[in-house]
Amino acid sequence: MQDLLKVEGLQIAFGTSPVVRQVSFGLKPGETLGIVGESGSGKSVTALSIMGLLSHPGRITAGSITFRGQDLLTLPEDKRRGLRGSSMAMIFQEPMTCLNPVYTVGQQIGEVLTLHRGMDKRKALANAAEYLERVGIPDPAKRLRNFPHELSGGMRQRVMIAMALAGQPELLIADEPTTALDVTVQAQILDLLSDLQKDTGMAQLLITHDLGLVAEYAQRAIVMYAGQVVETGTVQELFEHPAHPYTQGLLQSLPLWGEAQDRLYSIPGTVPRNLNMEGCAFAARCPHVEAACHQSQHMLPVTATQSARCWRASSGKAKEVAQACQ
Amino acid sequence: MSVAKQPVMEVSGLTKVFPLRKGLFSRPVGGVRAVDNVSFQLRPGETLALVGESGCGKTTVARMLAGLEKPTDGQVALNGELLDFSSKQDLSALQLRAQMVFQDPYATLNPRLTVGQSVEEPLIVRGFPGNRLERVRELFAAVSLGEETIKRYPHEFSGGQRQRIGIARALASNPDILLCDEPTSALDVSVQSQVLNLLKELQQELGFAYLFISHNLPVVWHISQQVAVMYLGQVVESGPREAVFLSPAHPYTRALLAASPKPLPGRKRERITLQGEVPSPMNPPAGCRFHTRCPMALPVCSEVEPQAKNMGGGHVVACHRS
Repeated sequence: MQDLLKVEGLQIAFGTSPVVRQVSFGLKPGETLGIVGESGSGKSVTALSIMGLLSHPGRITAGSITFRGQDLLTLPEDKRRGLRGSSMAMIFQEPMTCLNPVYTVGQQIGEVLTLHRGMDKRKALANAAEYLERVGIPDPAKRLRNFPHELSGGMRQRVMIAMALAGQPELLIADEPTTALDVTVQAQILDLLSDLQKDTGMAQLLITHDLGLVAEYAQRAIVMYAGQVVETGTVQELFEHPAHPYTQGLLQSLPLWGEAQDRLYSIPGTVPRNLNMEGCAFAARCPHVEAACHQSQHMLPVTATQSARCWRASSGKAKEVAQACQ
Repeated sequence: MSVAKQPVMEVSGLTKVFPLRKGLFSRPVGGVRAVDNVSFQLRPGETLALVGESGCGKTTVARMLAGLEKPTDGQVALNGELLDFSSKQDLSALQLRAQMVFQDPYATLNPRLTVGQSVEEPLIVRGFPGNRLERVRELFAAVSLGEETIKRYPHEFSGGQRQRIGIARALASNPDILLCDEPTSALDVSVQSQVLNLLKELQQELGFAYLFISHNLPVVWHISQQVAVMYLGQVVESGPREAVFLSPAHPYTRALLAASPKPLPGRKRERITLQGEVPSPMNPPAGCRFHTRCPMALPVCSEVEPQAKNMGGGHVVACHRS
């Protein structure tokens, strides 16, 4: 199947300092791709650049983003605006920041329908109720007249999802969609998203720092560190045989319930501030660092579906490293 | 487990009602029972975790134990002595013995003071007799921060380092109890593990009792010996962590455990998805407070409040089904 979205060699800089470097990945229709990384790893900036929402001083300095075979970066802004909110939609961590406090829920969902699907206002309002019902909001006709502040956090998140769905997107970017919610509500929202995905066949880009969520809801994932993709693979591969020392370190620093762990592993040091470096960005914190690490690193295949930005990855040493870690 | 040590703090029937006021003259029109009849003990070298969703009252419990909020009802005994919350003397004794560590350390550090000054402040307030600078150096060393960091300002630090500073400041008055309110929720995974290790080391070396508030169940499993699960102001299940995590008896505990995502791909999910959200504490449901969301509610659940039942081994559950 052809990729719905293809990002190749994406570079983003804030002013002169690079924040995203050589990011490449593809996403097929109906698939969920997780993007994992810690704060500042460039995952949100990557998402914003796909949506065309990157704001000053951020700018794309190299690479291409292709959506349905169309190069988004050369597309005129008015065409791009047509895509945004209809073919591709994004939901955010904090729904209150993207819902307008002075319009009712019905007006805001209705706006998507009039703008992107050419409905008249009355029809849009009736349709909006349908979308509210689909995202599991009880008594949707009544809720249409509510303002965002009258709803709970989980309800607002549902309204935002309803708005995103109203445009019938083929690609949904979910940037930390449940970080602000309680666990039981988080489970409801993510189950809802995967049910909706089954119904509509949309592709999903799930951005999160929670490795557990990726394991449960994504089929493939990419791990980002210091603005680069350091590893990519199916979730099985990433969680069972991580090849990059950063992925290995992350997984080992997770507490797991049901197991006796006295101390947790912690990755020494901190994320480098200056990304204008030669060689592996993780070298300063890596327990297996060698001279070869200070040369520039490329994504090397580990299996047909997994690859890692580490020279050890494909040389069979990855297994040794993984064993040494355990 | 070894012979149980004397508890450093005993809490029984702790209750907090926030009055609701309305209108021009702020007439009281009722109250929110944020914390309702909560009892537990904190032992030296042991961690009790309070688990629950937002609004369940876990932070209010910590604020009362730190002397920041006055309980409406209930008793708190510190080292066997009952505290009088209206006595200034007792309150300041409590504030010396129990210190809080907050979720967002940046919000609790004065941006215009160097972090050394921030950590020194409690020493000045308490009239520390020795060399204060020496003590600040000791505190920074205890949380593994270099001496050169003492003269820096909060904005120069990363989130994990700020949390270390928050912990150093909490240690300044030489407390017995640390009340940690979501201390790692704002941190990245790799930094979270550093802070958790630090908290464990400090406890092993200095024998603190921790009240650890979190909604992150793997973290709770890692750090605690005792767990209490709260729902709408009440403890619905409590006991040793093995009992609560491995043989949960309350449907809410089971749902929480099932909803907590685990980094094991392909795991067959036993998902008990709860319907709806936590009801407003202003108007809690009658009977069992959980019955509106409970997947296995009986008719009796909406009428009679369940009594706490001892399941043996300190495992206590408040559910009609158990």
